[in-house]
Amino acid sequence: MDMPRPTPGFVASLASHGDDALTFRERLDHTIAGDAMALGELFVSHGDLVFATARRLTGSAADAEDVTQDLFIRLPAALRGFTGGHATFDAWIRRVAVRQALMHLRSGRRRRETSVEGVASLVMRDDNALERLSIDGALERLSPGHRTVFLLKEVEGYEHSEIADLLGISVANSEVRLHRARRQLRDLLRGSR
Amino acid sequence: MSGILGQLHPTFDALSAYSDSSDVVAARTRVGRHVAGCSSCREVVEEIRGLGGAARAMRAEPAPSHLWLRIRTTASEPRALEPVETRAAAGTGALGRRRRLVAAMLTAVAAAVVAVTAWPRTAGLHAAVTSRLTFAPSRPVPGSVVTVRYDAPEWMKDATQLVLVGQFVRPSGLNPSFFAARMEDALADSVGVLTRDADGSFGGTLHLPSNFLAVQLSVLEPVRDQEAMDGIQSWIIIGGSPTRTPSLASLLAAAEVRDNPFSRDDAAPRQNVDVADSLKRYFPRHPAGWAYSRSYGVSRGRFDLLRFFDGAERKYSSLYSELWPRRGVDAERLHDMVMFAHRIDEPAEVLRWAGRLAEEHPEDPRALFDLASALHLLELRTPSSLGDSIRAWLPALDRAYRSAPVPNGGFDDALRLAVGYGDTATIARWRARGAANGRIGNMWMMASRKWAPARDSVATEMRVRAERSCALPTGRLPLARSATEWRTRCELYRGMAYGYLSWHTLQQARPRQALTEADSAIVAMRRGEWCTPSRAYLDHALAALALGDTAMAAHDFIVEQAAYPATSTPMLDSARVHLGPRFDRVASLAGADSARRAARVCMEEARMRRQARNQRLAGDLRGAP
Repeated sequence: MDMPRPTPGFVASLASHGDDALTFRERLDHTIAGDAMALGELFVSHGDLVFATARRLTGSAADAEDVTQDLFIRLPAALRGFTGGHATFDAWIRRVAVRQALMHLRSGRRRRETSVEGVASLVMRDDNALERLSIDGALERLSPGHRTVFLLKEVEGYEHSEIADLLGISVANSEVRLHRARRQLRDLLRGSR
Repeated sequence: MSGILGQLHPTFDALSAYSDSSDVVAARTRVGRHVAGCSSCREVVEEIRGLGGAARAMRAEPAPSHLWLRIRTTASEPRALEPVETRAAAGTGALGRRRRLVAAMLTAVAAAVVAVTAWPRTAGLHAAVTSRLTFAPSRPVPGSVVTVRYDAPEWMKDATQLVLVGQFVRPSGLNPSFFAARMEDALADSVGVLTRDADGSFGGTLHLPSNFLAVQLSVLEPVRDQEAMDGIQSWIIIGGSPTRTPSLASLLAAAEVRDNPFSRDDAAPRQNVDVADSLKRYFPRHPAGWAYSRSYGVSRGRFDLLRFFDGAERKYSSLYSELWPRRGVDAERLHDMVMFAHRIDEPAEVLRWAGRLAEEHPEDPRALFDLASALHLLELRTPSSLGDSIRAWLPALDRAYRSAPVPNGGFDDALRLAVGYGDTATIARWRARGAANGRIGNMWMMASRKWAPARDSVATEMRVRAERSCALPTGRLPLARSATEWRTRCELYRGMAYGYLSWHTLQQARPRQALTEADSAIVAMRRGEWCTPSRAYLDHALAALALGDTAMAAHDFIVEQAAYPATSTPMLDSARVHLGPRFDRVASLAGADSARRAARVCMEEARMRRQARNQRLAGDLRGAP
C-alpha cells in the first residue's frame, strides 16, 4: 500500500486527536513521545528544508533521501536535546541536517562514482565545446571537499571556524578550500560560456 | 597607489579573501586599495560574490512524496522509537540543571579515572571487531607470515577464492596518498589468495618482506571484478618490532597514508586504527602524534577529555624549544612541525618549519608542498608584505623542486607563486616544468592558457600517455577500484592526451596526423565512458576540411554541435561558413538532436553501470557488522 506524503490535510487530521491547539513545544514533546502524527507534521513543515540542505551538500537526490530519512527517524531522540522554541527550530534542524549530510558523506557509500567526470571536466574546462553548465552543474563537478566548504560558507552561512570544526580541518584549510572552490567554479562557468 | 606592489594584481585567492571581508575593513588593506582603483579586479570580486549569490538562489527541490512512506515505515519499527522520557526524568528546572551538572561532573571524573588508568595503553593497535578482515599477529615483524581471515559480504560469498590486493607502504613521505593524482600509483600487487573455509569465511596467509613497514589491503572478487575495502579506505596492517612494541617507522609510514590531514574527507574506516593516538602514546616526544592528531580539546563548546592530556599549544611550545635550536633535525620531524603548526592555525610557524625543511632537506618529497602551502597561507594572511617576502623564498622553492625524487603535490601552488612573483626567467622555467609534473589536468591548463614555451614538452609527455597501454601490468591490480574502472579511467586519460595531440598537431599544419590523433581521441574517450562529444570532433572536422573531405567535416560539426544546447549553434554556424552552399541547416539540426539523444543514452548507461557497482559496495557497507 502506498502511503502518501503528509499534506496540510494530514496535519488537519490531528484535530481528530483533539490536539489542534498544540503549541509548537507541545508538538515537539509529542514527537519525542513517539507520536507519528506529530513527526509527520514536522516532516510537512521542515522536510523540504532538510531535503534541500542534504541535496545541496551530498549532490545527489538519493543520498539526500537517505539523510532526510535518517534525520527524521532519529529526530524524536534528538529533540530531547533541543530546548528552544519555534523561532530557533529552523536553524537548529538545518544544522542537524548539515551534520547528518556530512556524516553521510563520510560514510563513503557514494565515494566511488565521484571522480572520473570531475577530473575530465577540470581537464577540459577551457574547451568551449563542452556542455553548458549551470551553477548547480558546476558545483557537482567540484571535489566533495571543495563543494562542501563552498556550500557551508556561501549557502549555509557558517564561519570558517565552524566549518573547520564540522569537517575536522584547520581554519586555514577551510579558507584555502573556499578559494579553490571559487576559482574552479569560476573557471568551469567561464569555460562553459 | 604607488610602487611595484600597487601595479601587481592581487591573486585570485587574495581577491576571494577580500570579497569575504566587510567593506570598511577591506578598504584599509592593500588588496582593498588596489581593488578600489582597478576595474578588472572589481569585476573579479563581483564575480566571486555572484557565485555565492547564484548558489543561494539555486532552486531547492522539495522532498519526494514517497519519502514520508520510508520514514513512517522505518519509524514504526519497535526499536526505532526509544522509550519516552518524561520531563521529570529529563530533569527540567533548576533542580534538574543541578542534577545534570552533578551527573556530568561525576561522569567526567569517572572518565578521567578510566583515561588515566588506560593511558598509555599497551593493547593492540587494531580493534578488529568491526572489521571484516582480521589478521594475526596484530603487530607483525618484517619477514614474518601473517594469517588473514575475511568475513565476506553476501555478494562475495559464492566465490571459491578471493584475491588479496596489497600495496606495501614505503618509508613516510613517498606514499600514494601524497601523489594521488598520479593514477599509476594506485596500482597494487596481488599479494595472496584467500580460500573458502568450512565455516564460509575466507582465509589465507600473507608473507611480509624483510623491509616491511605497513601494507594497505583490499579484497578482490575476481569473477565480478569488484573490490571490497574497509569502508572506503584500504585495510592497513602496521608492522611492529620483535619486542612486540610498535615501530616508529611503521607508524610514521602508516600515518602518511592513513591520517593525511589533507584527505580527511576520506576518513571513514571500520578498522579502528588511530595512528596518531598510537604515536602519542608510544613516542610522546615525537611531533608526529600531534601533527596527525584529529582533535585538540574543546570543540564547539563540547568538552573533550583529551584536552587535559594534549594541551596542543603548550606541547607545540615544548617541541619548539626542544627542536628549533637543535642542528640536524630529520626531515620527518620538520614536516611534522609544519603539520602541527597548521593544526594550531599558526601560519608564521608553518612557514618557519616549512622553510627549514626546504633549506635543510630539499630532497624530501614533502618540502615543496609544505613550503608552497606555507607561502600561500602567508599570501592570504598578510597581503601587505607579500611581494618581497614571497619573492625571497622562490629560490628555495626552485631547489626543492629540483631536488625532489618525484614531482609532487606542491607543484600547483609553487607554479602560481613563481608566475605571480618571479622574474621572466623564473616564470619561463616553472611553466616549462608543467609537463613533467605528471598531472594531466595541469598539462591541459597550461595548453589552454596558451603558454607557448611549454607546448612542446607537454606534447612529448602527452604522447607517452596516449600511447601507453591500458592493460594492467602482470600481477598488479588497482587498490581502490575494480580493474574495469581502472581501465575505463585509463582510456579516458588516453583520450584526453590524444585530444591534446590532435589540437597541437593541427596548429603545426599537419592535418593528416591530426585526423588520426583525433580519431584515436574519440575512440579512447568513448571507451572511457565520456559521452559528451569532445573537442576532438572539432579537430577532426578542421583536419578533414584541410584535407578536402567536406562530407566528413560536416558530420563532425554536427556531432560536436550536440555538446551545445539546442538554442546555441556555434558548430553549425562554423559548418555554414566552411561548407557554404553545401550546408544543409535542417538536416544538421536534426543530426545534432540525434547525437544529443545518443549522448544522453550513453550517459544514462554509464550512470547505471556505475550505480550497479556502487550498489554492491553500499550493500557491503550496510551489511557489515
